Amino acid sequence: MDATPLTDSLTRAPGFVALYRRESPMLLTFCARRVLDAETALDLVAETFAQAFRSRGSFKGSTEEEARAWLLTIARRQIARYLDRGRLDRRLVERVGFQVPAMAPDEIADVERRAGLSALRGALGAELAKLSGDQREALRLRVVEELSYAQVARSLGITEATARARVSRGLRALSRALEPHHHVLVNGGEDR
Amino acid sequence: MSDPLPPALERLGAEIERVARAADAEAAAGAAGRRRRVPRMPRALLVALVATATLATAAAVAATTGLLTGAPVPKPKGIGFTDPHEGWGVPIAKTIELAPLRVGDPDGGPPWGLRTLRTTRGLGCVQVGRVQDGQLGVVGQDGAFADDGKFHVMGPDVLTGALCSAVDGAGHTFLAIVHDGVPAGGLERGCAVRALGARPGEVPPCPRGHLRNLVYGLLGPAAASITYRAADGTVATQRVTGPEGAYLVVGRPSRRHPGTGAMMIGPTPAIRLLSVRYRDGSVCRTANPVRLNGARRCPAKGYVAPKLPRLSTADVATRVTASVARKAEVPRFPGVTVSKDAPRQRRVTVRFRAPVAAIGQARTYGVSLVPRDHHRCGLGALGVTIERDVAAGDPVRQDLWLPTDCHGTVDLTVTLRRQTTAPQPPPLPPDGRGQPVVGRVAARIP
Repeated sequence: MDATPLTDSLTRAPGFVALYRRESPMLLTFCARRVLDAETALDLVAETFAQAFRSRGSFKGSTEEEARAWLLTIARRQIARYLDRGRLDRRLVERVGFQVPAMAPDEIADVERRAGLSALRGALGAELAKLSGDQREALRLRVVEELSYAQVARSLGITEATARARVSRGLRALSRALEPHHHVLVNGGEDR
Repeated sequence: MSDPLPPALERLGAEIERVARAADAEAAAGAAGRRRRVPRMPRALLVALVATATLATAAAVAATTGLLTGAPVPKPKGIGFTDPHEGWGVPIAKTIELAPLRVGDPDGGPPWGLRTLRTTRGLGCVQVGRVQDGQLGVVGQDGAFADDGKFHVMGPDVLTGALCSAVDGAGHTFLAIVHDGVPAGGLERGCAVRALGARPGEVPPCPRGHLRNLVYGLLGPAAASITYRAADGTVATQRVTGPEGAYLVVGRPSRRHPGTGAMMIGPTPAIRLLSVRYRDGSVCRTANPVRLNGARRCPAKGYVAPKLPRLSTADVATRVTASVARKAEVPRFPGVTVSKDAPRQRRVTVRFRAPVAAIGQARTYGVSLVPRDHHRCGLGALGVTIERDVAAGDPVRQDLWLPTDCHGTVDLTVTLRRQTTAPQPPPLPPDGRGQPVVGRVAARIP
C-alpha cells in the first residue's frame, strides 16, 4: 500500500503540479482503456484535472494514495458522463482555461501501446457479438478497424454525432467486459 | 526533477502549471489586500477580444474597399486532385462553377460562397470559402498567410474546403455538410482547431471568436429552399441556388454547437437545418436532433440511380490470388506521402484480372480481409475500395497493410460494388454484403 504523505498542499501550484506529474500517466491509461481512444482519453484527463483544480480546496486527504483515489473517482464520473451522453463535456476545461493539446499520430500510437489497446481490442471481439446491430457495427468500425468518427458516419450513412452516440453506448454496454481487464492491470501495477 | 511525461501530457501539464501558478499569484495578491472585485478574464479571452476588435476594424475597411490580393492558396503536395484515373480524379473544367449564393460573415469582410465541380472519376464536389471579385478564396488572418489581411484565391484543384460524393445517374451531387469550427478566414487548418488534430507549433491556435460553424451542401435539382434557426433565434429561410440546389449557412459557434472542428457529412441534411422545401411543394422536416437518433435524414429527392446492368457472382467470378510480404515495410498509399519513420506494416497483396470494367464511382471493386483468429491478429476486419478506374481484363493489384503483430490465416474477399441508392461520400466501404463476389482467397500471415 502506498501511504506516502503529500509533501505540498494541492491548493498550491507546486502540490497540484506534482500531483499531475505523478498521476497523469496512470489516468491517461485508465481513461484510454475505458474509451479505447487516445485523444478522447487525453480530453478526459484534462477534464478530470480541471474538475480537481476547481475543487482542490475540498480535498481532505493527506497521502498520495488518497489523492489518487480522489482523482480516479473524478475520472470515473467523467468517463461515465462521456459514455452516457456520447460526447465530451469540455465546460470545465474551458472555464478553468486549459488549452488541451492535440496529439500527433505517433503520440496516439504511443498511448495506445502503453494502454495495451491492441490486445484489448482483440479481446473485445467476442463481446461485440452481444451488442445490438447498430452499436456493434459502429463500435467495430471505430474500435476494431480504427476508423475516424467521420469515416464511421460515412460508412453507416449516419451523422458523426449519431456515430459517436452509438460508439459510446456500445462502450457503455461493454464496460463490464472492459473493467476486469483494467483491474488486472491496476492491481498488477502496470497502469503506473 | 521529475520523470519526463509523454509529450502530450507534458504540454497539458504546462497548461495546468500556468493556470495553477496564475491562481497562486491571484491568491497572493488577494492576501495582500489588493484583490479587485473585477472578474478575472482568462488570457485567451483577452487575446480573442483584442483580436476581434482588430479584425472588426479590418473587416469594416474590407467591406467598403475590398481586400488586397495575395498569393494563391498552394495546392497540397501528393494528395487530392492529382490523377485523372485514381482517387478523386481531377476537376473537369467545364463543370467548375461558383454558385451565385453569397452569405455575409458575422464580422463582415468578403462574403462566404461555394463552388461546385465534377471530377474525372465521377465525383461531385463542393468547395467553400470567402468570395471576392467572383473568385473563391480565403483571407489571411488568424495565423494563415502570416496574418497579411489579404485575399488569397483558392483554385478548384486545392483540397482545402473540398468535399466530394459520387454523382448520381443524372450527374447531380447530394451532399450535406455540417462543419463546426472553421477558421473565419476560410482556410481549413489556417489555425489549429483542437479537434482537427493539428500539432501545436505548426500553426497557431485559433483565437476564440474567430471560428465559424458552416452548414452547407447540395440538395439536388428538386430542392427549392431551406429553413434554419438564425443566431437571434428566429427561423430564417434561404432559397437554394443553381441546378445543384446549393445552400450555405454561416454562424458563430455557440454553447450548443461549439466550434470543435467536428465535421458531419451525409448525402442529405439530417441535422441543423429545420426543413427543406422542394419544388413540388413537399417539405421535409428534420426531427428533434437533441434526442439520440432523433435526427431524420431528408430524402434524396431527384436522385437518379446510375444505369448499370445487375451482375451476379456467376457473371464476375474469377481467380483471385494473394501474397504476403516476408518483411514489414513502410506502408504505401496512392497519392499519399508516408513518412519513412512511420511504423512498418505487413503487406498483403491481392491480385485478379478484372471481369468487368469499374470506371468512376458507380461501380467499384472492394477487398475485405477478415482474420480467422481475431486474438492472433488484433484486428477485427479490414476493407478497402479500389479507388482507380479499371477496364475489363485489366490486371488489378491491391495492397492491404496489416500491423506486424497480426498472425495466422486471413480470408480475403473481392466484391464488385454497385451504387444503387443515394450516394455516400467516398471512400465507399466495400461491405461485400449483397454484392457479387469476384473471388475469395486465404493467406497465411507468419
